[in-house]
Amino acid sequence: MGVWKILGIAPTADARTIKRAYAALLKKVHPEDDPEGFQRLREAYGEALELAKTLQAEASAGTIGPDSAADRSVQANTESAEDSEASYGSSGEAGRLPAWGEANRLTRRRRQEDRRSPDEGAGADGGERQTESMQSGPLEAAERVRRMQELYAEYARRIRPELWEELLGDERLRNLTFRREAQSDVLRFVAEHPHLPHAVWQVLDRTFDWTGDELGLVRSVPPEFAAFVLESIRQPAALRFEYVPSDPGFDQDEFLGLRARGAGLFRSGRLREAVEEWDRASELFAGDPDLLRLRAAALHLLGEDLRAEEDWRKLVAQFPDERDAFLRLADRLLETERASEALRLLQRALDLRPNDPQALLGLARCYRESERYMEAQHVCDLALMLEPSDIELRIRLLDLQSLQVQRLLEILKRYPGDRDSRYAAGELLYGLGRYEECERVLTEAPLYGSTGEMKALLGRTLLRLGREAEAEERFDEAVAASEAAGQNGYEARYRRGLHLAKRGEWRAAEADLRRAAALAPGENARLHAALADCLAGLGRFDEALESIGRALRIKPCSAFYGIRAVARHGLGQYEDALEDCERASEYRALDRRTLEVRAYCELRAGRDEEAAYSLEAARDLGGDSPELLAALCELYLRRGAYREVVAATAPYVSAESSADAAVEGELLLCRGWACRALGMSAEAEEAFVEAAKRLPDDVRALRSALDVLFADGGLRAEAVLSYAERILARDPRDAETRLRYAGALLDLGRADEALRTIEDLLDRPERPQEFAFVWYYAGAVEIERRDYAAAAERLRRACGEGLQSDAASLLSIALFETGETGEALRLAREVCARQTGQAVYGDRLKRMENRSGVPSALRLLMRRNSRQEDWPFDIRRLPLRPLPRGGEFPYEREVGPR
Amino acid sequence: MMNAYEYERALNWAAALGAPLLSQNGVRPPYSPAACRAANFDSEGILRKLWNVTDGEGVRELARRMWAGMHNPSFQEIRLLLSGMTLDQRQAYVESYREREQYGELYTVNLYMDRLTPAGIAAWDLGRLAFYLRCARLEQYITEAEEEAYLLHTAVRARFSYRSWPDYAVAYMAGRQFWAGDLSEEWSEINYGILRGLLTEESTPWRELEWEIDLPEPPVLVP
Repeated sequence: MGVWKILGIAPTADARTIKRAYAALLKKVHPEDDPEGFQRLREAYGEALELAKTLQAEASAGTIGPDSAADRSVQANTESAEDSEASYGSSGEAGRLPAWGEANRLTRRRRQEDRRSPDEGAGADGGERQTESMQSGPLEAAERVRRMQELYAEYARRIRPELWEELLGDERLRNLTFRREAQSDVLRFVAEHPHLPHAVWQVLDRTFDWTGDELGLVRSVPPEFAAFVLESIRQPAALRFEYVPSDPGFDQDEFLGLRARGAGLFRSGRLREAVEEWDRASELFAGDPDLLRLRAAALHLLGEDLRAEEDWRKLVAQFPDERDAFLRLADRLLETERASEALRLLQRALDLRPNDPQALLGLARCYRESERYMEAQHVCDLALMLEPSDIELRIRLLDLQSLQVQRLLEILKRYPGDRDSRYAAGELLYGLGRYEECERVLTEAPLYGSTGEMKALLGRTLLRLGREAEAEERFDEAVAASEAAGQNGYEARYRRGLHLAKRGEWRAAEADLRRAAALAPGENARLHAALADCLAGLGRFDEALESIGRALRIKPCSAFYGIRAVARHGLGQYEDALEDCERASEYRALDRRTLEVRAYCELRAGRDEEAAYSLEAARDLGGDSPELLAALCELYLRRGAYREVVAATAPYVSAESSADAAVEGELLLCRGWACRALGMSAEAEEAFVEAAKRLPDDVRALRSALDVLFADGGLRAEAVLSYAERILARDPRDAETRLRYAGALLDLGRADEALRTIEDLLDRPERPQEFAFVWYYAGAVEIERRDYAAAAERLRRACGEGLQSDAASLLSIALFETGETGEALRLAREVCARQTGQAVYGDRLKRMENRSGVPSALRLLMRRNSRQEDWPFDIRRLPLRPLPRGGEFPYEREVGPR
Repeated sequence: MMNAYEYERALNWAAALGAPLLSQNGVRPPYSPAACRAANFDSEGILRKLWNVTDGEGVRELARRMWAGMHNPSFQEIRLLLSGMTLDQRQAYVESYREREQYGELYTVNLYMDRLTPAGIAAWDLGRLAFYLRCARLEQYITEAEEEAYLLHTAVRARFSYRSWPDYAVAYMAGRQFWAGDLSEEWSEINYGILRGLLTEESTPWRELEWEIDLPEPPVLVP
């Protein structure tokens, strides 16, 4: 039977007639009652659509129809790919939809082949054959497809996603195997019936999870078709289906096809062709808002604004909720100097969405065109608050401010005593960067007097004009004028405070800024930032951190991060400070101060290379501050460039202590270490002692001074004691200083105190680095006291810690006196053999050998006070000289005793 | 035929396209070569470090690339994509990229696409080119005559793409914002700071030279 007979219609090129006939027959031929008849009907439908195209092409006699380009390319695809993959057509090219008719034909052919050879094994499309023999069964699959076709055929129902949800609500679809089998038919269905609303595509995706298993989809259908499916699910520019007429007499698919093709062409930049498609669609139905909107957008981009305006006007007239149309038409009207009409449209757009920055900008432009400058400015301010990154808003504001200045200057010509207008004009001129004019406006009518605010503004203006001294006078006058008039002196205090902070007059600035903060009408980020700057300058870093935190909460700004970096550096939070330096440099080059802070932090963090770069950059900015020099010296020290340090710090040795005593102290410390490394002991001592003077509370400086004096060998013992006491008052756990303290006491002959100090040290958990010396000295003191047993115990420990010379010699005495003659003699001989140059050890041995004939018990009896000189031993000749300590200056550490 | 005065004005107009970068580099108006030299900026370093340009051929190639568009094609591509959407769809689409690198670009296109002329952010490319041409002349990579020719070609492109200096300024800064992908208020303020003086001060070319200036037929460029 021919396809036309099956469908019950005469051969036709009209796809709508074929579809209507098919839809009518679908209701009569049920797959369960007549599966073969149902199959025949589907095939006839596909074949008829194909034939219709051929007839249409023939009727056109070679002219290019709306589908021809797409069809040609699809044809090419199908011809080359034959039956294997082309059944799903292609959507690869812009504006092309899958080759529905072709797909149908190929599907049919495959099925015919299947029927002909049921026993043949699965071929390229064996999966499909399997599908029909599996769980769902051919009848069930056919029934699902039939119901989908029914749903699709009736447009009003087609666009309702809940009906699709219902149709696909089969529990078994949750089973992966079942779903895979079912999806084959569904995919074939959507290839033939692609015009579905976005919501329906999403229902399909929820059911078959195509977006969740893209690979699976691509494996089961040709890649172009997979792309089409995924795009249909994800489409960010989904077009609406609900405005398309749903009556059966209207060919929705044709309209939707044209519309979709146009959208595809538009996306690929083929604007002219897109408009042509939409023009054709418009001939079928001109009331679709998406069609009008898209065409207008394309026409606008093509520069055909007159035509675009027509579409926008239709949209505005027919669809009162189409915000896009209001805005676009308003733009067009503004461009063509029809501001009042644009104003009405924008107000309607704002009714639909209040505070829309785009609409507000348009509104401001309307007001500006209508010379309603104040309103325009308010609207711009509001829009800028909502959309701070919009540069056009700022430019519009600039323009409005210029216009407003003109108007205010006109007013001042007529009313020169109008101080409010004068101040407002001055503010605007300042904001516009027209400083000379600003000064003129603020000073041209002295007869009428000035407010504190006007004087403060004049001060700012003069600063901009580079007249700092005059500016400062005006700031002072501003504060005085405000106070005299009993006015809120916020502006005067605030501006003067900012200026003083910039000059580094921290205390005065802090006073002004604190007063201003108390008077401030609202939160002012800049004020808190300036205050933080002052507090950091005054060394009150905790307070500074709090204040700058407040500023940053109000308004994050790179400059504020620079201030926080200074505060964090002051608190020793070097890594955090470096992060802030990074943020501070995001938009602008760092200022010298922040660069210096960065260099310091990099030094502390051991990033010497980066520190060198930062220091270099700071110097390029004219940096020659003591802080910079201190950082530079530290870097020199790390690199072993001691002579550079000595040269750079020379001016600070003899200089009087200044306000920068802390930094000078740092510089002198660096100098001391450099001198020490160069063996310039006297210079090192001088530098350390000077550093300690400038940093009286800094234990690093005090320790450096103490150590260098202590190394003098007891000549400066009094001074050593003084430093040690100051250090221990600040850090009682400092065992090394305690050790030196004991040494100084010994130097001064205060053996008992020294012993107490050593005993105390031995009781402490903080084990000094030079522990062996402590045991040694404790043992020596016991020998002096003739408590040889105690001496032997301590000296054994000293030897155990590695001391071999004097400690071993003294131990031999202690052992000799406690009766361990043999061991004493062996030890004494060892020491003599090792230290041949030390006569005292030989004397001791000789005495031991002379007396070794006397029994030890008798020796004990012979021991008398008057004979203590028998042993060549003088405690003063062996002062306690611990190793120089390291740790605080990681760039240098001395080793070995001096 | 244009007289010498008009020709000079046209050249000044063309050079003023590069005003944002010139002023950022400390050049005061009028942006004559002498004023550029006085500003003493690192024109050689700018061309070499940013564009690897060290000779006349490099400059000519740079001009060709700038005329074809450096950032504008990407801008226009996104613009086209977003143009097919409703405002709400656009908003949703841009927001769906919030955590991704392209967010700044998408946001910027969405913000400006309806207001810019079809030329998009060509101003950003043309304005920079005007500046680079001046740098090239200062470095003697190109002659005075060649600079003039390239400037005039650039000027013609700009003149018929925009309607006014503020219009050009918005497109230039939209381009800068697109390039930086930075949506912060601070960045916007910085950009505004660059433009403010150019648009408001009495004696800047943007105030003194009308946008609808007559431009001479640009000379044929020797390849």
